[in-house]
Amino acid sequence: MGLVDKNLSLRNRGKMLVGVWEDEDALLSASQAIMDKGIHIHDVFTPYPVHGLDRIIGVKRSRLARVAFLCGLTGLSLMFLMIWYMYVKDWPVNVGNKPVRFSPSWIPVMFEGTILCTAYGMGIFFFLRSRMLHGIKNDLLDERQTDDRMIMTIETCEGMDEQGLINLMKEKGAVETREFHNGVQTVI
Amino acid sequence: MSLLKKAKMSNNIKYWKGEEELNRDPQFLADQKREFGEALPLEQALSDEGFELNSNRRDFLKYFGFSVTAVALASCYKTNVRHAVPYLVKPEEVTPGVANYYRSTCGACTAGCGVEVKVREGRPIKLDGSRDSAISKGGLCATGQASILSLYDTERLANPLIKNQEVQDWSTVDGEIKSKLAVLKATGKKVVLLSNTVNSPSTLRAIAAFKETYTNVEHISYDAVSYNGILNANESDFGKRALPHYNFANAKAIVSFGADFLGTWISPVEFQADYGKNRRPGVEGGMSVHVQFESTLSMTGTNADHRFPMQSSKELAYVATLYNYIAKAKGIAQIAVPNNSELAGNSIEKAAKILLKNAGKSLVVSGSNNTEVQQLINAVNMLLDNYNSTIDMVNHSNQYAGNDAAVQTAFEGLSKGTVAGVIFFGSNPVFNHNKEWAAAIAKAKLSISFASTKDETAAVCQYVAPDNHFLESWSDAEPVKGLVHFTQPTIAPVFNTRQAQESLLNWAGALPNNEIDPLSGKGILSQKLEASSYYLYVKNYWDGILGAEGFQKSLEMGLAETPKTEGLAVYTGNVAGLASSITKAQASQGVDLVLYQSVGVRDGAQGNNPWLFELPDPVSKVCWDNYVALPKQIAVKLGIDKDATVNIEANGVKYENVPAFVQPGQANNTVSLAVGFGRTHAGKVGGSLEKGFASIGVNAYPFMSTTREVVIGDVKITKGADKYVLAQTQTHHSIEGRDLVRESTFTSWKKNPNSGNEKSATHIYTIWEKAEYRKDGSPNHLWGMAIDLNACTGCGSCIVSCSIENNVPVVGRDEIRLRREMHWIRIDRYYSFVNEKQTMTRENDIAEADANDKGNYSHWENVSVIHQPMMCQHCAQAPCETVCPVLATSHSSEGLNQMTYNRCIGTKYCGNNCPYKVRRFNWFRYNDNDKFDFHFNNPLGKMVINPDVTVRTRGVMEKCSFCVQRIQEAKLKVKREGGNMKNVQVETACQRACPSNAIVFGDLHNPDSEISKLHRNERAFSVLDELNVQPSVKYMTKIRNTETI
Amino acid sequence: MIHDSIIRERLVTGDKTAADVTRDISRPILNQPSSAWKIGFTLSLVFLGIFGVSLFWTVWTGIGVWNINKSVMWGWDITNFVFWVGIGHAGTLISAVLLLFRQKWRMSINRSAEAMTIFAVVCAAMFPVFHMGRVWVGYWALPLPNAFGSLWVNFNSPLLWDVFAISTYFTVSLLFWYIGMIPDIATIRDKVKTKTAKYWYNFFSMGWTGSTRSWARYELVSLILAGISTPLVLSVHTIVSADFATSVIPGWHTTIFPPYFVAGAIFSGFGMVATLLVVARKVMNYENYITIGHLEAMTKIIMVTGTLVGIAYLTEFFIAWYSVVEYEQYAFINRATGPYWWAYWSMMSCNLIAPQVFWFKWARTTPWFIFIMSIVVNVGMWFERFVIIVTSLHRDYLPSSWVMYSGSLTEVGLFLGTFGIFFTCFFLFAKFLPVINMSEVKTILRNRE
Repeated sequence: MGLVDKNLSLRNRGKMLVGVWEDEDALLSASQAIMDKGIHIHDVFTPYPVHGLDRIIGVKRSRLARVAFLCGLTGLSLMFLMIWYMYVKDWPVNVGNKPVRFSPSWIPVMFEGTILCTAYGMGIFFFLRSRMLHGIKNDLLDERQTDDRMIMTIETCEGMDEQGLINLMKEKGAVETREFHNGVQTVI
Repeated sequence: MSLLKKAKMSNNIKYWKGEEELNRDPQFLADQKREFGEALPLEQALSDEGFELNSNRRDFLKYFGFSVTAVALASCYKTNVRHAVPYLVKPEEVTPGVANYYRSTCGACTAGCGVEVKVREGRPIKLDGSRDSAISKGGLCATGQASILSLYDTERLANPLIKNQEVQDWSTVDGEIKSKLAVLKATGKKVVLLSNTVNSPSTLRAIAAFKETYTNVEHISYDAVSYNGILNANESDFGKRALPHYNFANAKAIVSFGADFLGTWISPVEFQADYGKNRRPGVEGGMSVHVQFESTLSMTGTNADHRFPMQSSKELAYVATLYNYIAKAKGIAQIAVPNNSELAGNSIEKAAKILLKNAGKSLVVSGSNNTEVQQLINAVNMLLDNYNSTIDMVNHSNQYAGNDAAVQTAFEGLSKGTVAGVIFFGSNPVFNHNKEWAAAIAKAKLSISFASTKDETAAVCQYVAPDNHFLESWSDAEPVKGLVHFTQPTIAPVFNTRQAQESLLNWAGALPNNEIDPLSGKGILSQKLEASSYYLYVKNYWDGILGAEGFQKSLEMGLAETPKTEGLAVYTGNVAGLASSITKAQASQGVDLVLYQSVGVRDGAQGNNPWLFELPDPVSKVCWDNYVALPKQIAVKLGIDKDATVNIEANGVKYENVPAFVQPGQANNTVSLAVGFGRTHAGKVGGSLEKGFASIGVNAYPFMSTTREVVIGDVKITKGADKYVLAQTQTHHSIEGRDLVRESTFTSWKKNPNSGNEKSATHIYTIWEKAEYRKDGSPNHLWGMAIDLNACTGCGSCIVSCSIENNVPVVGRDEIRLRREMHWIRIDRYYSFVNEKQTMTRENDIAEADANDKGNYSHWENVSVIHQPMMCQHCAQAPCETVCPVLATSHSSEGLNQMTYNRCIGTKYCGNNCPYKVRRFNWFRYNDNDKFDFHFNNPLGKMVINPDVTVRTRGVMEKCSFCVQRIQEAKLKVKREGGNMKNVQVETACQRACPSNAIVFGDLHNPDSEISKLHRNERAFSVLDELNVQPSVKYMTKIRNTETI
Repeated sequence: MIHDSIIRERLVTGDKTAADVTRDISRPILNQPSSAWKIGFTLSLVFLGIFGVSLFWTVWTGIGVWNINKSVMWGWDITNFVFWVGIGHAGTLISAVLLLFRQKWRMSINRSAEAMTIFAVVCAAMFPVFHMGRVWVGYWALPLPNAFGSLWVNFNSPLLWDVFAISTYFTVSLLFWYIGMIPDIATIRDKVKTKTAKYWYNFFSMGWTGSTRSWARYELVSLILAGISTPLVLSVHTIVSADFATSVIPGWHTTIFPPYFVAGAIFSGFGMVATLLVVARKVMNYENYITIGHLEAMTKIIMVTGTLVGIAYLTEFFIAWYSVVEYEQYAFINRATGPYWWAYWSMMSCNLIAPQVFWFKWARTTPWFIFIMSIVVNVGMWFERFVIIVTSLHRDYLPSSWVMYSGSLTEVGLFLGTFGIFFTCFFLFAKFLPVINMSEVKTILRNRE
C-alpha cells in the first residue's frame, strides 16, 4: 500500500450509493446497522469529527504517532551532531572558560530542534497520507457536507440488494439517497 | 580604475595637494598610475627589513603602508609630490608601519616636561613623558597628552592675518610690520612684548636681539594663573624673584594650604612622580604623611591622609598659627596675634606635630597668591630647615615668572596711549586678564599677535603672525636652572605658519643665513630646515655651549644639563610685621569665592580641545562645563539640590544662572569656580562668537582683581532661575559599604602586610576546571595588570592617553548626560562622609545624617575619598563572553578578553552582563557625523588617529583591549630582531602615561616579572572576587597614613 | 448510551444547529465588513504607521535614539519582547493544554487564542531583531556557513537559545493553527460565491472533504501537536527567562525565573485573550459561543496565575534575604524602595492584589469589569518585565556605574507601534478566517457524557 491513502479518491470507482444524514446519532446507528449486514461502507464525509464512526466503519488506527516519534529522534540527533560539529570539531572557541564538550547549555537548542522536526515531519506525512495538497481538486458529493450534512458512500458490487440498502438507509434516517456513477449524482 | 577617477579621489583629500595633482599634470597622473612617482628600490628596502617578498597578507599591508606613507608625508610639504615621495626611502629610520620616537618638550604649559613624540608615517600621533626628563620622569599629564590634538585643530590659522584678512605670503606682513616698528622706534614710542613665562634660553636671546634692534621694546611676561605671591615673597626673603624648585621626593611630611600640587600647581607631573614614591608603604624611610588644608576639594586634597576644610580668606591666620606652634617648639618668638586655636579644632597643632617630627624632610606649600601668606610659608619652611632638602632656592624653577604689576602698568600705558605698540606672544589677556584689554589694544598704533588660532586677543589685533605648534618648532626650555630640554619638530608646519621667534628675528633683521647644508640635521628634520631658519639659531646658540657634537647628542636625548650652582640661599625674611593683616584675615566674614584650575582644561589655553572637555573632573566627575561648587551648608541655605543654577557676584563681576554643584568636601562659607572656561574665540568645540558656537561654561578670570588674587571675599550668591543638568560620568558617589576597594592604615600594615585584605584568602568553589593556558608553566604569555591604589592620584592622564592610543571617540555633553561616555578606562571615585559619630558610605545613612543636621553639615565638609581606575578586567571566566550569541567576544590563549568588532551584531548582552560595566557601545556613528563634530569629523583631526587601531563603526561594542596592538608590536619586534619576550617591556597606554607609575602590566607566566610579584603581593586583591570571574587585574590595598598624629 | 448531560450547563447556548454555527461564524467573512471593523482596522493601521516611523528612525540613525546607556543597555526593547512573548503563550496553552485535559470549553476560544499567539510572537520578534546595533548583519546569529572561516555561533548564549526557541515556537504554532483551520476553510470554501475567494479558500483547504479517515488522522495529529506544543511553550518562556537567570546581575541571577516567567506568561496571555474576546463576542455577537462561562473560566485562571507570580515575587525577596549576598539583597530592596519604587508597586498591585477580586462571582461574570481587569493585568505584566530588566541593571555591582533610565519617544513609539501590528493582523484574521473553530464547536452543540 502506497503512501497516499487511495480510499480518499472517488474517481475511477464503480457505481456508488450515497446516503445523506443530518443527525449524527442517526448516522451512527445507521452505519452500525449497515455494517452488521456485512456491507462495507466505503466512507462517510462529515462536517465535524463524529466520534466512534471510524471504529464502526473499520478505519484502521493511524500510524502517524510512530512517524512523529521517528521524526523527533531524527531532530534530536541532527541537532546534537550540528552542535558537536560546530562547537567541538570545527572551531572550538574559549568563551568564559566553558568546557568544549557536551554541557547542559546544549540542551535548549537540541530540544527545540526535536520539537521542530516532530511537528513538521508529522505534518508533512499527515498531508501526504490524507491526500492533502494546496489547491488539489476535491471530490465533493454535497455542498453542505462541510456544513451540516453527513454523506455516506457505499460501493455497489455484483449481487448486492441495492434497493434494500436504500430502504435501510431511509428507515435509518437518511434524509436523501443518491446514486453516484462516473462523477454523476442522481437522486433516487 | 580610470586615471580621472584616481585623480578625483586624490583631490577629495584636502591636505596634500601637489600642484600637479591639482592641475592634472599628465606626467603626474601617469606617475600615479605606478604606485610610486619614481622607481623605488622596494624589494631591497624590504629585504633589508627582513621581509621575504613571497607576499603574505602582512607584507602586503607593509607595502600598502608605503603608499599611505607617501600621501601622509606628502601632506606635510608644500614642495611638490615628486620630490617628497622618493625622500621616503632615504632616511633609514622611517619604516612604514613602524613608529619613530623623537624627544622633545611639551608646550602645553610652561612646566616644560620632556616628552617622547610617537611619529607614524610622518604624523605625530602620541605624546608620552620622556623617562630621562627630570621634570616629566616618564609620565605626562592629561593636558600635555591632549596637546597633540591642537596640532590638528581646524581652528588654526592657515595664513597670517592683516586686519583679519588672510594673506598668503609673509613678506607683505613682514614689510608692513617692519615699517610700523621703524616708525614707532623713530618716534620713540614704547612697544610692549607681552608674553607668558618664557624659560627658553634661545627664545630669550631672540627677544633680546629683537630689543637690540628696537630699543623701544619692553618685554613683559605674565601667567594666566599667577604665582606672584611666591615670586614676590622670595624676592623679599631671598632677594631673588623666582619660584623655588620643590623636591617632593625628599618630603616625608607634606602640609599644603590649598596648593593642588598633584593636579595643577607649578609642575604637577614632576610632583606626582616624586610624591608617588613616598606614598608606597614599602618605601624605605616609611610612607609620607600628607596634610591638606583647603576650601575646594582638590585632587590633591582627595589624596591627603588628613584633609581639613579651611575658609581660604582665613589662610593667613592658619599659616600664622602653624608658624607660632613651630616657633614655640623651636623656642623662637611667635607672631603677636590673638590665639587662633579655635580656627579648625586642633588640626593646625596636628600638622605642626607632624612637621616637627619630620623637620628637615618636610615641606609646607601654599597655593595662595598672597605675598604675606607665602612669606609666612617661607618662614615656616626655614624654621623646619627644609631648604636644600625639599626646597631648592639656588637652582630655582623658571616655570613661572610672570610679573603682574608690570602687566598692569603696561595695560594702563596702553589705555593711556603712552604705549603705542603691543605684541602678544603666548599670551591672551583679553580672555584671561581683563576684558578692557580689547579697548586698550584698539588704541595701539601697532598690535601683533603670535596666536596660532584667532583667539580673543588675536581677534582685536591688527596683525596675526601665527606661531607654529610646538611639535612643528625648534626650541629649548630651562624649566629648572641648569636643566635644559630641547624642542625639535616632528612634522613640517601643517599650515603657512612661522615660529614666533623666527618672526621676531626676521623683523629685527637678525636671522642667521641659511646656506649651511641643511642635511646635517637628521632625516625628517632636514626637510624641516627649509621651513625653519630658527633651527640654525638654536644650533648656533647651543653649539656655543655644548659643542656641535654635544648638541647633536643632547638633541637625541632631548635634554642637557648645565652645571648646577652649589650653596644655600640666604634668608632675610621677617614675618613680625604681618600681625595686623593676620588679625584681619582671621576676622574675615562672609562667603569666599575660590578660583581654581580644573585638571585638564587648566588655564584654558587649549580652549578647543574636545579631549580635555570630555575628561571628567577627577573629583566631581563633571565634564563639558565649569560650575559653582557649593558646600552643602550653603546649598541648603539657598534651597538648592541638583540640576540647579546660582547667580554669583563679586569684585563687580556678575554671572547669572551658572550651573551649581553641591560638592562634598567643599569648606563651609566658600564656593569655588574653575577658570579657563567661557572662551569666546576658541572655535567649534570651545565656543566662538563669530562662528556662532556657544561658549563652554563661564569665564572666571574677570573675578581676579589686578593683584590676580584667587580668593575673593564677600561674594554674593543667590539661587538662579534656570535649571541646568551637568554632564557627569559618575552619578552615585557613595560605595554603599561594598567590598570593592580595600583600605588599611600604615600602622596596621606594618603589623600585618595583609591587613585590610584578609578576605582574599577565602576559597571559592568552581565546577569548571582551570584552562590549560592559565596553568603555571604553560609556554604562552598570560597578560595581567596591577594597579596601586596608593600611587593613583586620580588625575585622569591615563584616560586621555587611552583615548588617543585607541581612537576612542569624543561624544559630547548631551551624550554624557545620557551616560554614554566612551572612555575605555575610567576612574571611580567614592566619598565616605565623616562626622563626629561615624563614617558613612551608604546613601541612607547620609540622608539620615543630613536630616538630623543642625546646619553646619560637618559630614559633607569632611569626606575621605578613594580613586579606583576601572577598565576591562579581562576575566578568565568572563560573563560577557558566554552570552554573546555570535562569538564576537572570546578569550585568547594569553588571557585577553578579545572584542571582535566586525563580528559584533550589537545585542549589548555582554555589556549588561559585565559586573564592572566597562563595556562601551557605539550608539551612533561617531566619525564623519556632523552631530559629533569633533576631530573624527574632519580630515585634519583624523591625522591623530592611531593606524594600529580600528575606528569602530556604529552599532558595535568596544572596550579596553589591554592595548593588544602594543603586545603584537612587541612580539613582531622580537620575531624580527630575535631576543626574548621576557626582556621586552610591553606597556599599555594608561601605564605609559601614569605620572606616578600606579599601573603595571606584564606577563604573569614570567615569575620574576614585576607584575607577577605584584599579583603575589599581600596587598593584592581583585574586585568582586566572590563572583569567581577571575579578573586579570589586581588592585593594591589602599594604605592611609592616618595615625601618625 | 447518549443523552444530554444534566450536570453541566451548555457550552453553546441558544440551541444552535450545525447550520446555525456555520452561518453565524462565517457571516463576517461572507458579508461586507461592519463599520466597527472598518474603524478598528483604520485605527490599527495608524498605530502600524507609528511603528514604521519609529523603526525607520531607529535603524536610520542608530539605536542611540533610544535612551538606553552604558549601564542599562536593555530597556523598553527587551521589556516589550518578554511582554509580547508572554502574551503569546496563552494561545498555545488554551489550545494545547486544555485539549490534552479534554476541556471542551476551550473550543470556542482556541482559534482566536492561537491567532493571538502568532501575532504576539511576530510583535515580540521585532524587538530582539531591531535592538541589535547592526540589524543588517543580524542573520549572523543563525548557524550558517560563512565567510569568516566558518565561524559558528555560541551555543552557550541564551540569546542563541532564544533564536531557536522563538523561531520554533512561531513555526510550530503556525502549523498547529493552520491544521486546525483546514476543515473550517473548507466550509468557507463551500460557502463563498466569488471566483477569487473560491480559488483561495480552495487553495488553502487542501482538498478537505471531511472523510472519516482524514478526521481520524486529523484528530490524532492535533493531539500529538498539542502534546509537543505543551513542553514547547514551557521551554520557550523558560529560555526567555534564561536570558536573565543565567547572567551574573543581581536581580537577574535567579533560579526561580523559569516557573515564575511561565506563570506570568499564562497570566498575561489570558489577560490579553480576555481583552480580545470580551470585545469580539460583543462586536461580532458571539455571545452564544463565547459565553459568560468561558469568561469566568478564564478569570479563574487569571486569579490563580496572578497569585502564583505574586508568590514568586515574595519568594525572590525571601531568597535574596536568605542568600546573605549583599548585592542580591540590595537589588531587591532597591526595587521596592529605590528610585523605581513606583514601577515595582504598580507591578505588585496589578499582578498580585488586583486579580484577587475574582474571588467574587460578580467580578468573574461581568464582561465590562473583566475587560478592565484584563487591561490592568497586562499593564502589571509590562511593569514586571520593566522592573526585572531596568531596576536590576540601573544599580548593579559598582555604584560608580549606577544610572537612571527612562524610555525615549522612539522607544514608546515602537511599543505602541507593535499594538498596530498586532491588531492589524487580528482584524484581518477576523475578516477572512473563522474566528471560532466551527467543526469543533459543532461537536459540542449537545453536551455528552
